[in-house]
Amino acid sequence: MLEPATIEIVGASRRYGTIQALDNVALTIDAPATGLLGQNGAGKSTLMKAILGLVRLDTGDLRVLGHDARREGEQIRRRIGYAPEHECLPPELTAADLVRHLAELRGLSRADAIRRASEVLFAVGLEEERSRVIGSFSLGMRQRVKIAQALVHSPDLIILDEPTNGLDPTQRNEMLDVIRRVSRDLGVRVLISSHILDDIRRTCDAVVVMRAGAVTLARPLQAAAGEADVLRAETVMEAAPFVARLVAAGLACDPIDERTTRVTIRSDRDREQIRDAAAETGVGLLRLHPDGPSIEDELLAAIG
Amino acid sequence: MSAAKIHDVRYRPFDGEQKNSTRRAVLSMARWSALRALGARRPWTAKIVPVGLALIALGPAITALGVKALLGTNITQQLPGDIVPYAPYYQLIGFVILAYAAIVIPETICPDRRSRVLDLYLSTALSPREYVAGKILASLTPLLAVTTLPLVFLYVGNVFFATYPLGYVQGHLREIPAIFGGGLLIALVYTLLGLAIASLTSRRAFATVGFVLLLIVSSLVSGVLSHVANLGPNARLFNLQFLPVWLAQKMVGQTTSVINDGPLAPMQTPDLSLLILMNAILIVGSLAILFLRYRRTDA
Repeated sequence: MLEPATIEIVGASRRYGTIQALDNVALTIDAPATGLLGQNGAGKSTLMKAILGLVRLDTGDLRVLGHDARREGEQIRRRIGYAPEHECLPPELTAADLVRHLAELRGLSRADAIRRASEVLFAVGLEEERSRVIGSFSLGMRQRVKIAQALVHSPDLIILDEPTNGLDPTQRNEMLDVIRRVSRDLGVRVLISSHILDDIRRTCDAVVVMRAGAVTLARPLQAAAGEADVLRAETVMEAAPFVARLVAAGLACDPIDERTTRVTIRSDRDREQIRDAAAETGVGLLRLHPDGPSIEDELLAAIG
Repeated sequence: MSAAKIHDVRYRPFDGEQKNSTRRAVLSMARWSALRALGARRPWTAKIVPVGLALIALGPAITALGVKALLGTNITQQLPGDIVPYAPYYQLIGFVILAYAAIVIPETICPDRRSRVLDLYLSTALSPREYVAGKILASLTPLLAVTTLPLVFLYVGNVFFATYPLGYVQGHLREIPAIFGGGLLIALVYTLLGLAIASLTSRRAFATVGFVLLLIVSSLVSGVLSHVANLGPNARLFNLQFLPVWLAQKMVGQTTSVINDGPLAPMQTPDLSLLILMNAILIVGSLAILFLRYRRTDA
């Protein structure tokens, strides 16, 4: 049987007074790690809470792991781990005690909760510090505790709301490594929200961009295998022999002017053909860059 | 040569059983909250107040039994009444019960609001109602120990020092359920009142002061109504300081003390039906505040 998509949203809207937090959002999320990108107030947190079944939609349908978020919030929360953006850890508890406590609330027996707390704290790199009180932790360590508690019951999906907020560059790098490890090595699907493009690029396979409560872009972060990519080649000399050599090699070329040519490539081998053709014809390759906007340009335009 | 590799990530998906029942969630929340409020797994300073108050509550029982032990059964049998009877015991430890409710009960919910850990709890399958039920149980159980155990200790001691222990039990059989019922009533009323007030703030100190102020104001109002408006003993229905205690005393039954002075002096109390009504109002009102404060505001 076909597994349901991680998240399916159709026509989801939610208004708080005069603010349209979600505006007719339609979306399917199915990548191992998906980034929710947008400026503060774009609607990311509202969408995450709607996915958790903690915010009721005014209109539209939302299905998470095959469950209806409107009616089956409890079942959804049993299969999801959530790490909120804000400070939410009791400072007087040790990391192990907190994770254990939340594991028991999620239905694990005491023995299982103790074992799992140790496993997940190890997985996020906090094994040595597990018996220290959270109040003595750095911000980066507290973020790791949030991820550990979200993983403790082995969820199918974890939702991380702005996990790198307030971290210094070193802590941020460590946190991004942990998140990548969760989706790649531990096999848990991840939905991460951020307003930092680089965080999403480094941790996710797909991105959803939100602006003013609406989805402005949803796409994979890597071009699919075999998908055509159009490059623009600029040469120092007249490009005619270079173009002829490329056409002979089977590449589609579209000269723009004497020294600029649009070349369609389908693989890294085609890219090497361009390099070799420039060397053989001696035209002097000045620049080789994507024709049209790059993924970054596209994402930045979508963020607004 | 083998090409085997060891991958030690010490993490594997959890394949054990996840029991998702309301009872389990409530009990788990209650256990952790009670342990935290009583200072478990925390520095010794956090244990002083709850343990100290519980020991003070035992004080009169220990003293009464100590006097019996010193004087001997022959002398104490000739006294016109008990040294410390069961019913006035509540009056005697009233300040301990109130101090416990004012200081220890806010500890169960105020830190959660302050550290905003509620968002984490509600992202599990725990519902706000289960959360509140867990917190009530966490606060009620230790307070129940304070209101009940000293009287149980006193009862057992009285049986031990009686000339005919079996005869004492037969003569005081009615007191056994009454001790537990009265203790439960006092613990329930002050637990719910304490939690309701604590639910209005994230600061423990504000909750403690709020609870004490409410008791003082209610006592003043009751005094004014009793003396100025000349409403008699029924004006004391507004005195939250004694409301559940008087009802518990009526449940246990008034007995004579050899000391008819100070906190052991008999008090004129309101009518039984009015006492039941006011205590019921207090319980329902406190529950309403609690569940309103913790209702799910959205989904």
